[in-house]
Amino acid sequence: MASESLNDDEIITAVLDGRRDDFEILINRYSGKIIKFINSMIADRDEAQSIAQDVFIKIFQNLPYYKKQNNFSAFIFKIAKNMTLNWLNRQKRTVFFSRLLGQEFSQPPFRQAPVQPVDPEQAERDEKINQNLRSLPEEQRIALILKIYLEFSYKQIQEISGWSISKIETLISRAKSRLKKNIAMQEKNSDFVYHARKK
Amino acid sequence: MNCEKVRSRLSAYQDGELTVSQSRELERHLGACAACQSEWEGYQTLVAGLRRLTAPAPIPGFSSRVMASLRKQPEKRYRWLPSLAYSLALLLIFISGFMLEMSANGQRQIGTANGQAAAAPKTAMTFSAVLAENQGLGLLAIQDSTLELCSGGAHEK
Repeated sequence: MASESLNDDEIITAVLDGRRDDFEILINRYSGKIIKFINSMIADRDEAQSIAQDVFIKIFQNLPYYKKQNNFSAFIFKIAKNMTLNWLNRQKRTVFFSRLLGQEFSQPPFRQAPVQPVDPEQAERDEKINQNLRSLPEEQRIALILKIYLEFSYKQIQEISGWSISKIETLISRAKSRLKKNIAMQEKNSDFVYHARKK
Repeated sequence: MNCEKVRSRLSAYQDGELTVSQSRELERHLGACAACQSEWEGYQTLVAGLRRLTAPAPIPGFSSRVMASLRKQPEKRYRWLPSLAYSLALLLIFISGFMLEMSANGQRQIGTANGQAAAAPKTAMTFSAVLAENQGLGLLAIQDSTLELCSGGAHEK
């Protein structure tokens, strides 16, 4: 399809001119990254697909408000970030009210992508990183995911989040230090348990 | 650059966000400081671990599902219509208000003129009253001229 070689802004112009089906090119172009971002934030792959679907519908509805400056990526990740945070806030409220009412709230099991067969030690290490990533404060997690997983520059993260460059630098630096410290501590503890059992 | 400053910049260095001169300075320090070098290796291991984590790919038919949902939605081609209608309504209200104000001013002027003439001040008159009065005057004028014509005609005869 010739339209696939068009840049984002050209496709958006076509969609706004009535060629709605061209929007599918943008979905194919960005769905992988959007799902990756949402999944990293909420750690539930089924829910990530569902939120991603809503994100693309919202993007489509907001296309007339997009100012064409070749920064479509920032535009869509801003929407994805807001919708994911809304979802997380709703979850927090559900947990809060469930606890308030004394009901048992069963958090959905952590549903990550079925990973390729790796050695158990590797799988354990990955799970450890995942758990620690989820325990980071929201802003640190967003900044780190946008930088490490999606390889955005600080400037692009600024466009998505609205934070200053120095704040982004601090958030990412703190997130890395925290992860490094927590993982090292957990490894130390597991080593201690392992040696204690051996004795 | 001392150790403290180097460590505060390691993350930005890893992210490729330092300037060339800042990077060179940091690299020089890393080459000479074993403690900072070890800290840097910690960063490298962490980010390698983070990058290794897999993310789910979109489920097959993801884009078709989104497109199907979009097709169900009504086309919002004329989404500017409500705002246009709202603006027109506001404009209409503004023009009506302006015209009412103008007519009220006109009334006041006529009222003042009549008041002066009759030596009795009229402070307020409705638009219809002014109209009726003017129409009345017009009719009287017509009646007068008709009478004049009639009487003139009678004189001629």
